Amino acid sequence: MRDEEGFRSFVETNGATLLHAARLLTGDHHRGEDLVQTALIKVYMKWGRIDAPLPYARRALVNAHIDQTRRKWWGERPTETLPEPGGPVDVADVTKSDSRDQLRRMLAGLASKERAVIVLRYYCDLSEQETAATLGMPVGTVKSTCSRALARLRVDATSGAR
Amino acid sequence: MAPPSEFDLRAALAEGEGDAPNPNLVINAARARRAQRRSRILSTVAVVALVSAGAVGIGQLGGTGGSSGNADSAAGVGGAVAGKDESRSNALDYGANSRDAHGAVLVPQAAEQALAAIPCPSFATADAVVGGAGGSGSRARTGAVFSAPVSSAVVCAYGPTVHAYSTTARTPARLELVGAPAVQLATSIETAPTTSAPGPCGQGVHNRYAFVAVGARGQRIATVAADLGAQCAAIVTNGVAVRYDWHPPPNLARRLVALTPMGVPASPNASPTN
Repeated sequence: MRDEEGFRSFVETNGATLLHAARLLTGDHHRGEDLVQTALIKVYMKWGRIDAPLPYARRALVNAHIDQTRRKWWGERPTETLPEPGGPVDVADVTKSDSRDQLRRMLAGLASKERAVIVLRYYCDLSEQETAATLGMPVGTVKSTCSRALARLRVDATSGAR
Repeated sequence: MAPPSEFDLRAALAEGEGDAPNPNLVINAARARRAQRRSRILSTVAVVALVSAGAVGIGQLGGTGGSSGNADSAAGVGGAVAGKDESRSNALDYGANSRDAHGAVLVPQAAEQALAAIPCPSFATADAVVGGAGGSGSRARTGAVFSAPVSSAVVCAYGPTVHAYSTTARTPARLELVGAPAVQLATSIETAPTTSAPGPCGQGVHNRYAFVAVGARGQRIATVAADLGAQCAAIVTNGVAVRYDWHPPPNLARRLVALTPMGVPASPNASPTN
């Protein structure tokens, strides 16, 4: 018999964080909800056999996200007309909320692994070691990926690419 | 926009955190997925079981009902039945020789029915078997003639290999061996020399024979062709493995001599005299 009460309390405690992390990973509200449901279903299936549910859930979330991005239908689609260039943003006009929104949109422009590293490091507050364990990659790779992602965010923010 | 600091990044990421997902929805979805997975596994298992049962059923039909249905026609196709082995009715003989390599006990009636359903191959087929002998290398040439233990055999005699009569007009004489005689036949062929040596076996007129070896479960093991001279065979082959200078067991040799195919006149020179 599964400990459903335990699972319920786990979802109530950590669900919001996981859902938000999923939204940040996907860059889309609804896809984030789908992603967190996929991850939580995996957690439920293994509930009672996993010692640390939260790291397992994070890992399931990231793996499911990377899995989804590998599929064809998430790939780029050719269009006849090019999207309008972002152009330089007038920094003086943007409010604080706008800049945060813009930063999140820039996050969506990163590669899926870079995004996962940023979300785990700066939203889930994981250490480099924990991030490496969650993503199943060496700590050095986490550092370099994180550094590359931050550099790209800085460049995008400066040039106003998004 | 200024390059974001770590604080900006954390603030941007943390903004907009909403409510937790409904755990009941997750649990229901997980249950549905588990049920779906179970039903898929069950249906796969059911299909596998059904296919296995069907295969076993078809195998059993082929071993019993199918062979009895073909028995009459097979006797007609196979040609004149010259005689049946005496040991067929001997229950002790079956007990001694009716176990295959796995120890499964034969059902005598099933073995007889399976044997009766086997027609003699045509002379051309036997000719092709002899013609293909040793074509796959030395290792294959010296390999086993029979791939499994032989428990019964159909012997077909075609007469002289070189004859004025058309080979297609011949109806082979037929002899069925069950139990010990079949085992002796197979053993003597298997243990015959794998290299040819000049001697009496290669001289004179040879009669063509074919042995259709049958296993304990009624399955065909091999069709072996032999060119038998006055005393011994110059060549015995299943089309790949070859034996030379084969001497048939004495009690069998007499019966092989007595087999005279229809359409070929009996000739003292053409038949083995043993």
